[in-house]
Amino acid sequence: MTQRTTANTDIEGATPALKAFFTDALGIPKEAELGRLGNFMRWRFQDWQGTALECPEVRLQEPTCTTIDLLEASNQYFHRGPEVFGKFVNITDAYNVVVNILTSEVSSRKPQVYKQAETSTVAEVEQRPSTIIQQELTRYVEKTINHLFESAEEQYFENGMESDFSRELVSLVEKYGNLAMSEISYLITCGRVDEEVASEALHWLGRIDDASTHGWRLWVLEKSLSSKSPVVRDGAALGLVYMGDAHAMQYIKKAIEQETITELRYDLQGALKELEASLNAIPTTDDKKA
Amino acid sequence: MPFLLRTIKKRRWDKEAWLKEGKAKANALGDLQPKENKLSFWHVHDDKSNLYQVVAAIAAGRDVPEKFDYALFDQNLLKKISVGIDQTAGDSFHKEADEHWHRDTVNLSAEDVAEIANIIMEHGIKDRIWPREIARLVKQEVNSGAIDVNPLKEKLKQRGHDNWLE
Repeated sequence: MTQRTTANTDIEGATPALKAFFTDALGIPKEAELGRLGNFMRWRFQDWQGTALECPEVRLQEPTCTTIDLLEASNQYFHRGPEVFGKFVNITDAYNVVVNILTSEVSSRKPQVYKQAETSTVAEVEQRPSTIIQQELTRYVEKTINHLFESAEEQYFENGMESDFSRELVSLVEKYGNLAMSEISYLITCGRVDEEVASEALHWLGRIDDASTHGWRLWVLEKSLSSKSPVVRDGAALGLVYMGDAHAMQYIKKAIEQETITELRYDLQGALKELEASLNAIPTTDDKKA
Repeated sequence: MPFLLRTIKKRRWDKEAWLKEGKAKANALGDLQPKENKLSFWHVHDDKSNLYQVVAAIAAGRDVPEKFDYALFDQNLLKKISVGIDQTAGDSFHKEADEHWHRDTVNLSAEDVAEIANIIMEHGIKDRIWPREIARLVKQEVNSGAIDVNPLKEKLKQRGHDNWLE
């Protein structure tokens, strides 16, 4: 008899697409919603922290995470209905769903390699039938982004200046789109990277002009306004200013109300004013015609 | 009472409950990295009449119009710790700023740097100017001829739309 892991599901913190997915997992699946999420879920074990010990059926070992096909996950686990929620430990984003999965199921999976992934883009991979290649690409992007953030801890970031880190970050997001955003979001929202690096990443994410990743970038920026680190909260506010999306205003207002550091609250108020001014300055269609 | 200006990252200078009064956080030293035992500052007049010209001078050297965090403090406070101040040539694209307003504090010990950090923490004004205002200030100095637009970084010149500085 095994002890069931206590559920700690934070669906309110999930992306809109992920919320839709869970809603559908309990009701009628919609392929369109699955498509918006991408093709994979990643099952992480290193995030269990405490809860794993309550679950003797799991033996933590390396590798501590695996990536599986989303449809496969849906077929294997989500058909069980509402009980599935009892198995969720944490939700970080569409790709990073931490669940109670038997280690034996993880270890029985074939080892994945990174070959071919380095030269592939999302668009190229989507044209191939093999999900294995997609998995390789996913893991390659995760590994690359992890390395990028780790190596950035040694860098000094000067205000207003590009760095090797910012150039590579922007390049990866432009090349791998939401696949890259998934990993970046995970690292930042779970506090797995240095706060100065996270802050730098956030404000450059706000500067990227790319509609395909807009939703992800907006989400991670808004989410980061409630980070434990004031440096990260500040970087998130800056990123939202650069992004210029009116949706962020409600989140910045909430962050102002909750901010306990006087100086940062003042800067968050400044960010709100700057965002409002930017939005008011955007020419309307009539202005453009004139 | 002339001022000295230094660019900073504001979050390094936020007050913390655990911090003793008048003391800077260790992280604040990240904004005071000496080169050849010197720290670079910019002179700001008593009435701060050249403050925004100095800000524009520094901002014009950046890759992108970015928020501008700075600390401003009374230059005379450095007399307490006997730090020498030399007028030296600046390295911006603003002719007047480079010729007249750049300063180096020289022959600094590690203790001096820590003391400067404490002075900024206790007496300095820490402020932020947002990107839209930075863009306006740079454009103003370009239009007045104080800043030559040609050597500026391409990305800065492109900001949002072409030729915004013209």
